[in-house]
Amino acid sequence: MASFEQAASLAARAAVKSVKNQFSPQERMAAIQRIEEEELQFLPEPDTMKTKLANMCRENKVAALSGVVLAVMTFAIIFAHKLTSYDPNAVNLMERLLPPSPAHWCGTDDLGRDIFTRILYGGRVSLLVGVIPTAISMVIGVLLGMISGYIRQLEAVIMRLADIVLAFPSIVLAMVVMYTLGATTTNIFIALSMIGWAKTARVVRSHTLSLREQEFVEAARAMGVKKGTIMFRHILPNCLPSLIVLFTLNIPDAILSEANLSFLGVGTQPPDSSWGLMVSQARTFAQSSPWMLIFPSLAILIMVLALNFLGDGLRDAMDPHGR
Amino acid sequence: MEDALLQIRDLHTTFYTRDGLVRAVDGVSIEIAAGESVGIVGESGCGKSMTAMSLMGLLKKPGKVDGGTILFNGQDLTAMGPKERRKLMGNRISMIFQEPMTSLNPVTTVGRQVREALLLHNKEMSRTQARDRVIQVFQLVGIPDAAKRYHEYPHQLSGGLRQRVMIAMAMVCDPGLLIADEPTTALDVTIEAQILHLMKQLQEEKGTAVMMITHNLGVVAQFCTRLYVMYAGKVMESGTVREIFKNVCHPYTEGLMRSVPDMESKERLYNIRGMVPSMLHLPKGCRFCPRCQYSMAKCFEQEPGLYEPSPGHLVRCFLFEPEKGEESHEQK
Repeated sequence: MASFEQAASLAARAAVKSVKNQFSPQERMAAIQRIEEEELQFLPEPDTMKTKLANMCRENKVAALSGVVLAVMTFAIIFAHKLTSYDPNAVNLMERLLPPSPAHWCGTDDLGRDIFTRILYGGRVSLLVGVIPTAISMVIGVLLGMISGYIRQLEAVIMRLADIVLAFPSIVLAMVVMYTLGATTTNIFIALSMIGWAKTARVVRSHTLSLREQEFVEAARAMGVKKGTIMFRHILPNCLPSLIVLFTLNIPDAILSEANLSFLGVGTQPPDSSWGLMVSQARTFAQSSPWMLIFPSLAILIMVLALNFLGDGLRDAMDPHGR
Repeated sequence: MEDALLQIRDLHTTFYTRDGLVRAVDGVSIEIAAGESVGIVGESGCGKSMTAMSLMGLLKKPGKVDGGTILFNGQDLTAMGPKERRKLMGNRISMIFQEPMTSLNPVTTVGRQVREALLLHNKEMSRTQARDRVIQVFQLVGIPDAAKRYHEYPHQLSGGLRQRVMIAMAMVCDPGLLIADEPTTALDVTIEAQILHLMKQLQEEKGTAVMMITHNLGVVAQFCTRLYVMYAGKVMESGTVREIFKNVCHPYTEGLMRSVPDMESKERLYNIRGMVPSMLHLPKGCRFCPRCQYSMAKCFEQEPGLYEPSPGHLVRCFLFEPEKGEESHEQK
């Protein structure tokens, strides 16, 4: 054992010697400097938004695919009138409850209307109802949540308000709003926004409460940074990963709430359609004509899944640790 | 000292807890002249950090400054509104924190964080100007390849580099006073030496006064010119580092000095008996007396004042009480 160690140390010394003999001190310095310069080149270039997205597409194929699916769906919904020759609201009692066929890709409903066409047109309402109230309620929720988490004097007021909203069955609250304001799409936005903010506010508040105790927030305060700047520059970006997930989870919620409202007669008014309304109308025909139920449900499912995968991908791409 | 940059006079910071009042800082007076480096040492929980927090206005909820004045350049910080105070913070007085790992925002690049500090106090500066200045400061604090590091996130840097970023952030506005709250506790000794060397160098170049809070007497000996020893919220001994190291007076300081490990000695390392008392139940009389090896009957009865065994050297201990001190010296 000892002889082995001796041999090893001898070999090491010989190696050092040969290096010493080969290089003059100047050459050594030059070599070291060269290595250091080479190392510096391996420092990654700063990431822009564009490179972040490109990386995400390369590394997370599902997220990229989801992005494409959402783009195609949005495109199809916007250009619905170019993609189908049927009128979404034209009743044709001769062709009622037909199964899927080349003429009617997704079959027809109980009034003989083409379901594929109605899905495309109904998507307009569903997409808007999914995205707009969610966006509005998240903006309100984030603001109120951060304020109640950071400014303790306002906490009780805001959080009790959120408790009140959450204590009601949300559908009842939405119905009250819809009855008072009248059943239009804009009012659906208002009603759903009024319900949705409370959940976001709670999540953001709890994040803020833990973030405000972090040392980097204290360091910012020691630098003389103002409250508002701390909230938006230091606390909000750290909440972002959860917010992206919350956003993708809230959209299907909003779509389904709209369906409930429509089912109760205070949401989208027939003959106009939305995905949720189509699903709830198909309920009575579920056994005899399942396509009426399956295809609109499938549309909701695909959109929700795509949104979730895309949200996950975005969250990972935005996380600086993920690089 | 009339020309002091910072004058803390009889500062009281109290925490109003449910269990009673905790006087974390109990009548502390500290003076720092411009360009001077002053050490504050003591065990954990003796009020060093709370003094700094009171100074920075960073006290958390039940805590409040309820007595004394903090004069900075002749202005009283305790009387200032939050707005005026923010103007000074980070600009004229800045602070380096203990944990470089958590003191930086994990989702913002380090360059932007330092730039934020700079832009905050220099409203007329453009973004590119600020950027160049930040890179310049990065180079000054010895961050290699500063221009590229500017765009990196905190987790991509080592602990030593992060502490350099913290120092850059503190120094970017050329403050008059730098408060360093155990700046090297989280770092290993080689990096500690580098960071201290860097701070010393910056201090000499820029003429910044430094308030070094630490429990490492080695750091004090190397870095500071004057020293305050704190125990349970009070200053126990103060004076120049040279004087105190040569002529240790207070039994507590003596205990601290003897607790420093020595490479030569084969004896078991000395430790001060007992623990820092609970701030809710402070002993009557001298706060240190239950742990003191020289404590006298008198120590348990009344609090000692500050006595001056040699000029500029203040000690809070009855052993150094003039005249009367002599006869009761031998008592256990």
